[in-house]
Amino acid sequence: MSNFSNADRSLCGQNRFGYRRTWGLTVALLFCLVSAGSAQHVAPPANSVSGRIHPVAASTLPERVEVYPTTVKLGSRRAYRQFVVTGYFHGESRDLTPLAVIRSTNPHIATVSGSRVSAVGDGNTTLSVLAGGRTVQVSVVVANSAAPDPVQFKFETLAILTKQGCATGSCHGSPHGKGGFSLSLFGYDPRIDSVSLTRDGFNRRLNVMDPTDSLIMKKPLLQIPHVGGKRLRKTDAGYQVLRNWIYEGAHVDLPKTECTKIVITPGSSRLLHAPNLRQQLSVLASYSDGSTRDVSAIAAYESSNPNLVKVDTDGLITGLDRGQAAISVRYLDKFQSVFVTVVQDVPGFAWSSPRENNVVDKLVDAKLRQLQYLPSGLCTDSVFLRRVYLDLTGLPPTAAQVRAFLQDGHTDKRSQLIDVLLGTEEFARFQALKKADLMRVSPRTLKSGRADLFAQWLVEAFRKNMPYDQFARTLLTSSGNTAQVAPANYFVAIPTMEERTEMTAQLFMGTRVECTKCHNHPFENWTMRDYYSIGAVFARTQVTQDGIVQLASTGEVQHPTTKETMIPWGSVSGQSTMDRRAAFAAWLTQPGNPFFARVEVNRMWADLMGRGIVNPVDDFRSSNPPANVPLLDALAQEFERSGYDRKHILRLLCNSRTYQSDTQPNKFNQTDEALFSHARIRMLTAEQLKDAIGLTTSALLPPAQFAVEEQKLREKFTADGGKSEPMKRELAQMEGRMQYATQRPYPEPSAFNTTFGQPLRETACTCERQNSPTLLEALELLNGGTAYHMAQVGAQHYTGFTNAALIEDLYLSALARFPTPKEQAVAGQYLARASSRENAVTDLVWTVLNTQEFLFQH
Amino acid sequence: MSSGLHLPRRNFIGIGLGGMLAAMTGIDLSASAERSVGTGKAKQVLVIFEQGGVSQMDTWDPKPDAPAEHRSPFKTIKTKADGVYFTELLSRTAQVADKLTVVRCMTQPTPGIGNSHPKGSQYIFSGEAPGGPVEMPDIGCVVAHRVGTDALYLPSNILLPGTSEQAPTSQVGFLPPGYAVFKTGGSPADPTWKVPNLGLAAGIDERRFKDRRDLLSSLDVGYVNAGRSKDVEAMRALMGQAADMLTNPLTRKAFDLGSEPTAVREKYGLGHRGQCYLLARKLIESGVRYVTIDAREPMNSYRDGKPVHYDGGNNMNWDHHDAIYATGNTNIKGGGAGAGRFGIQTWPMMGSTDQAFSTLIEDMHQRGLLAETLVCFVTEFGRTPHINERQGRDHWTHSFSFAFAGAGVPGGQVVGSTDRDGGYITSSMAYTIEDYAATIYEKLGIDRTKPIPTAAGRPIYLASKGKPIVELF
Repeated sequence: MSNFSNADRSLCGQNRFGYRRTWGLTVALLFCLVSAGSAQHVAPPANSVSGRIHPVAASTLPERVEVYPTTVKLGSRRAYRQFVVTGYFHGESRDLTPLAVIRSTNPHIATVSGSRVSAVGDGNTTLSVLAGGRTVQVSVVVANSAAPDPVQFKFETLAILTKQGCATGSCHGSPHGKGGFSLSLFGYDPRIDSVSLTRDGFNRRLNVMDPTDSLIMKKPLLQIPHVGGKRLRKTDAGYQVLRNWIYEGAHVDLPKTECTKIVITPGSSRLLHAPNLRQQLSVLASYSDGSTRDVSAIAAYESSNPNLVKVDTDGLITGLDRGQAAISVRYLDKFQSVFVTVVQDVPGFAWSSPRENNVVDKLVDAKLRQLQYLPSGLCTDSVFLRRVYLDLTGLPPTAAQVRAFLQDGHTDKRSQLIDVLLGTEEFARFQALKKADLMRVSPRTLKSGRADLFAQWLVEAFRKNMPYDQFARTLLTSSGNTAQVAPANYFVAIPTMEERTEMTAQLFMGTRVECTKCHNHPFENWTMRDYYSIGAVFARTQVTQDGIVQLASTGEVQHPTTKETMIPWGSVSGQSTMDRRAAFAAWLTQPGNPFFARVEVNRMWADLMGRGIVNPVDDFRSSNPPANVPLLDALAQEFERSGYDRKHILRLLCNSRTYQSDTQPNKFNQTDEALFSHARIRMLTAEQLKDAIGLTTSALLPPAQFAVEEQKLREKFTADGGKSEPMKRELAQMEGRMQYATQRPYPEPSAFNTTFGQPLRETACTCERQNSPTLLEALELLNGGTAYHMAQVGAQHYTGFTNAALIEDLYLSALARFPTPKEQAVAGQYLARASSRENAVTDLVWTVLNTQEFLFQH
Repeated sequence: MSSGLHLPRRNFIGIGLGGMLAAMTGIDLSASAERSVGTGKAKQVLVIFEQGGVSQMDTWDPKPDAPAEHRSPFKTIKTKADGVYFTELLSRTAQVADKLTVVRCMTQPTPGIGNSHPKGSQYIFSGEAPGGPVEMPDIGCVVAHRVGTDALYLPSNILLPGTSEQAPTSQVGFLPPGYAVFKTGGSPADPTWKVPNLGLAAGIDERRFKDRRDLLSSLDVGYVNAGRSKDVEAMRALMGQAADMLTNPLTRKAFDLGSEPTAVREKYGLGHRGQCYLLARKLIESGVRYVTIDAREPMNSYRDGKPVHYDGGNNMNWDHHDAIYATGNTNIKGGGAGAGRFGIQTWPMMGSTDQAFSTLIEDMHQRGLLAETLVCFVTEFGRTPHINERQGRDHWTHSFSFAFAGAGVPGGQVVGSTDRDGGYITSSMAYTIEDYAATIYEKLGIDRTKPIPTAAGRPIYLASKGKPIVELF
């Protein structure tokens, strides 16, 4: 493990996305699937799982049967192997394990119980596996069956403490333990556990003379009261392990050998097609001494969505309802997931072959079709216009822009508008705002003009569409005086090794590693080693008192528990004289990196669609699988192929039917929340809302007019000799689009903005921005100063308008649509009846600002 | 154990169905083994946070036998409870000692963590030592989150009036922002005082507001798909609730000190602190779940109903590093941390506190409010048993005193003891701020075995390092 090369790194990462490879195949196979017409019925009896599953026509004999493992070597008295038997029916895999009949030719050498084979005596024999009308022979070698085979604390006892739930974060694995008994979380520190088990608690936890009298047996068996409830049954594999371990003397030896990996059969993804909804897993662990061990019985299994897919303690998966879930397998610090898709037929469902605008729709539709959802139709021009303006520029369209667009008869007007918007100054600034949110750009942390400098750099990067790999490399490797070298401020905003580790991982790898600062990750194979290895990348990056970012020639990061000096992530060893940051950045931005492209396309996707393909966008982990793997992979590949061209991806997404679909669901997609069958309704962000109120009430100049005013002022300033300080300040403000919250890379934390969820910029997590409605927001809208005063400004703006023209303009600028006749009538009556027209207009403007249609994006 | 369903006793409040459900579901009686003392006896909590570190030996924990050079100058007096003694600074509170339990063995278990005012205040607000892997939200936010409210037209977690210091120390943390504390600000003793955002904006009378709302309800129908979005539905409901808050006469009444008889207002003291304490009682009476008073005198305050200016500015807390026994302004020139603070025995300090607190307890008792309200008088730490060279006492986390009343807290009780100087705990029991938090949760019947997950999925247990103070049950 000490020479963890670049290739290893990327391979290691690939494993987290390993399902990609088999996945495409699964989809392809699904499309090949035709209903089996033949009547020969030797398929398993229908699983009695759920009434929700609609049975389909049963199958014929499989054309092929696969047995895992193909040969068995049992090297100790207690060794066993879990079989997985798979049949292929018209190319579609189906688990035959529970139905397979497995017989041992010589029961004095090996016996079979269910689908597991165990050692009995030394020698060679064969097993016959009968499944799907075929018999497969498997050779078995048993050795060392007479030698003692004591339970190994490090590899078995600890695994059981995790499997039975003892060492979880909500029980004894919490930082303070529970009821005075403390274990390390999922056994990440065996030394803590050995002391806790054998020495603490007045030695009552273990009774070597009478193992079943030990507290760690009696409590989970609920023979005496246990707050955690019943955690162990005498039939559990864990019961034998614990009892034998204590009986044999409760040795807590910690050999140097480590578990190096686990391999799950049948691999990283599986499709379960009703009525065949079961799948057995088999888990093989490998160790640094070259040995292997079947850990199917002592590994822990968990489902990311137990309502859709459940898994029992023996690793038997059962699909319950249509959808997708990840089954996670944990053994010691190793963690892998199997991505399970459950398909069932929906009565009346027929694919309608909706129009595909581009590859996005093709891949979204493939997933929808597989799970039998129908996408919604296209949204109206009005809805599209407001949506795409808000998404790309942060600002809604003006009344004039709405009129022009709605009158435009060109069939390609949507895609033309997308191109126009991607070229605007507003686009660059709004993108910069989003990135600045995550990079802690704030005068609080970046003092003496550095926040401005850094912000301007971000705007410029998006203005000229800097390739995103170059963007990341520049940020991660900049040095020098931060008053001049803008991107070097990345390191000023996050001065500590921990902050740099966590932010870099979250920003560019979409991964929340902060858990692994103190313990191995509870839901992922991220470990403390990974954390401090990323930390080592930044160990030599210093910021001096004068704000100079420079590289020191020394500086290392040590693993807090093992004390080993960490090799920087991306470097071959710690000895290289190369800038460690450059090595890391090179690893990160190399095409094929498992994180970099995926994370950024997923962020762009979430910005436009309201939800990530991986959701939340900065929580990539195998136990939180993408909703649509081929889609994410295709977008990432396209991003790499385009030279990390963000605008190219945004253009692709905006032009898709998926982006332009209606929010109105249909009968066949109303339960879908995650597969993008219809558009999502989203509340405007704090900055969008502030600006939308400003533009609707004309308290803010529309951007085009704003640019004209800016130009005028610039000319005046020049004519004036370019010396007037007040004019200079005003010009700087205009250049910085200071009036628009969405156009400032660090909008002021005003009461309005913070009420509506503006992030404090203290973390790199998108979750810092709160976007769910609150009571304070409702109070602010109904009674707060912003809506109140701006409504008054709006009333003044509309002074010279007729009622009908006023209502029409108000609706166009607020909602990007014409008012309905009924709205014209209701609003017109209100204005006509009023004693004070100005008050009535103020009321009307205020009212429109308070409609749900205005507050939300559709 | 009695039924979990406490029927509302003050039915004029008009508790809605939501409140009833909250009352029923919030008090979970499926007690597990760990919940040994939880009674669910409290329905509301009133915390009086006297910030800065109140000197224990000058108030709740008299030390007449301390060496003369460090001894408090205030006499030890008997109280209404047999065998319970305070100093004479609490002579009025002594008359309600039969309704109080004084815990003299409060301590911060890890010296240094909460030994500054910001950290100590955060410790008190959240009930957990600052600096952990996840900063705990305020106890009040957690309570609002877990129990909800019976009075929908009022915020469920209110800070009265608060100062600028709470911004970083009071926090909603990982909970949704809707549970953040509602801070009133200002001084209720000011005759022109109004709660911001809980009355209609100037220029909008109720009639016009109603016109606007009517217009809104007839126009806000255009968007047909909105009903399919949870957020849209939530916003609609919240706007209804907000409109109710803005116009419901009960909201105004809850904050309207003018409706209180003059005699009552005078009894609490016609100054900043007294009126804050009175307002807290009114809010508890109106059904607010969790009320916190942080009532240090502002620079421009009131005394006997008349404006008064304190040169010490915002220094009028209990942080008596200098001249603790000054009979007026500590009179330290040239600024510094304690410039212009008043001595502990002065009116703006313990004088007003003794009056307001004793009146509050008596008043709440007479109104029956103590039956289901837990009242806690707390401070972030105590003060050194030794007097320093500036005639002050510095921060002391080893021992300090809290007082409790109501919701089944026994009266006339002292818990724990300290040594001759008041510096170290001598009793077998000692309680921490975590224990204080656990006490509040248990009194409210909140199941601490149910964690709250953070956004990252980390399970967070309430007062996980604390055990309830058993003598309060």
